[in-house]
Amino acid sequence: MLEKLIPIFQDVFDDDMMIVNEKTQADDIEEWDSLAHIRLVISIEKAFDLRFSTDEISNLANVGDMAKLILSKTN
Amino acid sequence: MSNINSWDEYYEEMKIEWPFSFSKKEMLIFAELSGDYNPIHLNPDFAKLKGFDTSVIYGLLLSTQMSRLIGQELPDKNAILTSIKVDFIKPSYPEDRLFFSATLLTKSQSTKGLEFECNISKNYKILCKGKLEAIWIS
Repeated sequence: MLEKLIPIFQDVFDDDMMIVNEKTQADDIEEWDSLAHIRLVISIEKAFDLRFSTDEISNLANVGDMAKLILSKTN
Repeated sequence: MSNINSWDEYYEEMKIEWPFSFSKKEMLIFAELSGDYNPIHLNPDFAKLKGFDTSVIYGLLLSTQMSRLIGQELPDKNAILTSIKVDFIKPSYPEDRLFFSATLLTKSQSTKGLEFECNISKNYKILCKGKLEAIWIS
């Protein structure tokens, strides 16, 4: 899952060298503000052809949680 | 006035369109507001020397229609513009009859983010196209 998420992060944050892992959270990336978060969520929804609810998004602590959520909605 | 139910009035593929034009007087007002007095926008003879038909409308004056979309033409007054990406493809001139068209591409239920695709055309030829992002605040 991470290998699919990393290109999305790289595109949203316009950084081809960006690497994230399961423990990465918003506080670890300076540019990860509320607007970037919206772009990130929308990009992930498009990439995986799914839709999140507000509750699902607000309960995420890190990238690993996001990956688990995607897997739970795609399997 | 804020109305939580008005979020439901947004739907993907929603299209919003209107005709508009800019006068020479409005070009002068934009010059004063922006501080951009480049003669290509204000002096028809200079613009013709550069290969245009007459004074060229400022690209960012065209972009004001994108502000109008988000601030004025949506189902409510709850959206705030957060990003604009615009390509200016062909020139337009004062008094041209222009047409603005926008389509809501994405309505994100989880983030209340909105993504629009828009273009400005003249006689069905696209002069300018852009992508807008906005957030909806209840």
